[in-house]
Parts: sequence; C-alpha cells; structure tokens
Amino acid sequence: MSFIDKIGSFASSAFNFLKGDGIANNLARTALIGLALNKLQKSTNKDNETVDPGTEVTIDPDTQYSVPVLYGSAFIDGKITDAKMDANNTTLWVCYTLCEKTGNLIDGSASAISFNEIYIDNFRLSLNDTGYTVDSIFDDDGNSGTVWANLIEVYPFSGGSTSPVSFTTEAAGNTANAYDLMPHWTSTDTMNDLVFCIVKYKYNKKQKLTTIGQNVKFKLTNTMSQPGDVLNDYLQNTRYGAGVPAAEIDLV
Amino acid sequence: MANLDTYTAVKTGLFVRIQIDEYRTTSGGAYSEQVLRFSTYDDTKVINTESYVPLGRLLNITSSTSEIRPTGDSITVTLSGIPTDAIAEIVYSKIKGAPIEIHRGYFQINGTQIGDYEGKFFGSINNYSIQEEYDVESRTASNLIILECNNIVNTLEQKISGRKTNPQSQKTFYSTDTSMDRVPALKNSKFDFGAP
Repeated sequence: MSFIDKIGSFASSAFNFLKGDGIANNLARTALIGLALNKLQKSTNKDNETVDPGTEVTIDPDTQYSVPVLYGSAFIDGKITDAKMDANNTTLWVCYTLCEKTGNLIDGSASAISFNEIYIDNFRLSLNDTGYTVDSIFDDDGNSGTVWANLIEVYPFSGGSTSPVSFTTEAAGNTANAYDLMPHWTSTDTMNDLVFCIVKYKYNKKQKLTTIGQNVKFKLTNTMSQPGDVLNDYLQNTRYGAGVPAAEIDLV
Repeated sequence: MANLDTYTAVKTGLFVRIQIDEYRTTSGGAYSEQVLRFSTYDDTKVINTESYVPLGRLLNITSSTSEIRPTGDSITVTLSGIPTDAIAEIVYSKIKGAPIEIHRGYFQINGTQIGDYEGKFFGSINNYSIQEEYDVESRTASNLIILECNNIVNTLEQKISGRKTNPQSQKTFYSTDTSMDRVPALKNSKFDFGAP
C-alpha cells in the first residue's frame, strides 16, 4: 500500500466520521461550520474596509467680510457665501462672492467686469467647449493634466443672478440664471450688484477630487481702470463709495 | 487769489451760506427749505444773485488752515445777539448735517470788490450749541449760537460704506434679496462629501 492509498484511507474515514450521528460527529460538524462562518465574516469585513467613507468638508464663511471693489485687472480670492450638497453626497455646489459691480464711466457708459482665469489650489483650469466644464488643469510650469476633467463646472456671474457671463478665453458659456443652477436658490436669491461664481464639484476618489478647492482664485478685469473714472465712481457711489452728489463734483 | 499788491488798504468779508432742508419756526410747524445767508461785511452784498445779510461783529468764524493736500479740518461759526424768541427756529429745525459754504471777498475802502469771491470752507454742520448771555441790569437775554462745522474731507474720513457678507448688510441695500440669508447658518457646517 503506497502512501497515497494511506492518505485516501484517512480521508475516507474522516468523511465517514463527519457523516456519523454521534455527539462527537455533531461537534465536529459544528466546529467546521463555525470555522466556515468565521472565514466568511472576516472576508466580509475586509470588503467593508475598502468602501470609501468620503471626506468631511468644513465650510466656514465670514459674516464680517467686506465685499471689495475691483478696478482694472487683479487676482481676487473668492469668499464662500453659500454651499449645497445633493442627496447622494457626490455633488457639492459652492458660491464664491468676489466683488462689487461698479458704476458708470465718466462718459456715461457702464463698466463691465469680466472673468479671465480661475485657479483652484494653484492649478489653472481649462474649460471644454461648453465654456463651464473643466477638461484640463495646468500648473505653474505649464504641465497639464486631465485628472479633474468633467468633475468641476464653473459658472461666473457679473452683476447678479440673472447676469451670467463667459470666461474671456471661451467662445461659449453658461446662460442659465444662478437661481436655476444652485439647487436650493429661488428667484429672490438675486445677488444684486455682486460679481460671483458658482462652482460645482463632483466627488471622485480615483481622480483625486475628494474635497473642494482650499485656495480658489479668480483673475478679473474691470473696464473701469482710468484714475479719473475710478475716483469719480468711488466718490459718487452710495453703496461702497463716499456718496458725494454728482452736482458737487466738477468733471470738467 | 486776488492780487492785492497795488492796494494800500483793503477790507475783507466772509460770506456764509447754510442750506437747511428742513427748517421750521415752531415745534409742530411744517418743514420747508431755508437758505441762511450772512456775512461779516458791513454792507449787504449779492453773490450769484443771493443777498448776504451783514452781521459785522455779531458773526465770528474761527481761522482755518490752507494746505497743499486736502486734509480734514473743522471751524466754528458763532452767531451772537440772537433774541430769545428766535431760539425756537434753531431748536426745531434740522441744522445738523446742513451743508455750509464760506467764501471770502476782498474790497477797497470804497466798497469796490477786488477780484472774485474765493472759497474758504466747504463742509457741513456737525453739531451746534446755544449759550445764553443774560444782562442783569436790563433784565434781557441774548444768545450765542455756536455751529461746529466739519469740512468735506473730515466727513469723508469718518464715513464707512460698503457691504458685508451677511443678511443684515445685504438687506440694507436690497431688502428682498435673500442670497446672503444662509451665510450665518453655514458657519462651521460640515459636508460628508462622497460618503456612501
């Protein structure tokens, strides 16, 4: 009898033992079932450990932040004034308030503030044909990547919720009102005379978008840039300026 | 400034113009616009078709400084000899905040004006006070009215404007705009971004 036959004989006797009706046979079967359940539970726990718990994003807007006035061209930080997450926790809408809308130039024409660029955590965002969806990002050295492609959308507004604008680098852009984009806004959320931007973040761990931008910057340009126009606007404006009546200013 | 080189004697006058938008003479009277015009000169003068009442020594105006750069400054205008029954006009009218202009004029001894009137002070009345002068012998009283005036630069330096990112500030300018209403509630709020 070879050693193979001996092993086969042992296996056969063990199998017959487990099939028996005695106490010892029952205990052995229970122990084996317990071992199997234990293995199964460990396997289940291991699977649970791989589920993404998400990221806890804390938003702390400043209620005492003075909305700045921007003349000429400048980079400006956005201050968060609203945020809303959708029901499945994967889309977070954030509203960044940027600056005041300015008044008229001395020649009577209205000033206009345009959006040139947007930077999130020092990456410049490039948009696709829609004019509001990110397709690539650039670092300071000009290296590009598509890691956030289709995960961020930016909707700039210049003057209020019903004044959507496009980035100057884009041929197209958003045309919807702000209160039709932000999930919980209504027509009374008018953001009167404010320049602001709504940014939509879509969570994606694989593409490393697990939180909102910690450092969001915008490059804006105001057509009001000449010293005379600026001084006149700042003197006359009753909202952010000195409120001096036009009759008391000699423009000639 | 007027060239005074060729004159051996000149006299000057300060001309004060106060525009009071809400002026009344009794506590229950209706407000009306009233422009007060008076001067330290010894005769009635007309500037831009407006006559200035000569008060002479009854009017005193403190000195002001002239600097190259516009700076904040204040002056005090004192009117004396006010009869007691005229005090009500001061008390019941809204004098604080009224714009005040003071011009200076140069004249020859015969009254002929030299050059144009020149601006000395432009600002608004910041505060006023009343002092009573009682004459025991005649048992009559007259009053001093002291007007404290700030110039425009001083007023601008004290001015605070602009809006903040909170609902109260936003509603100060746009009462129906609710876009800042959620900012206080959003403070320190946490979002479980990407949680299952």
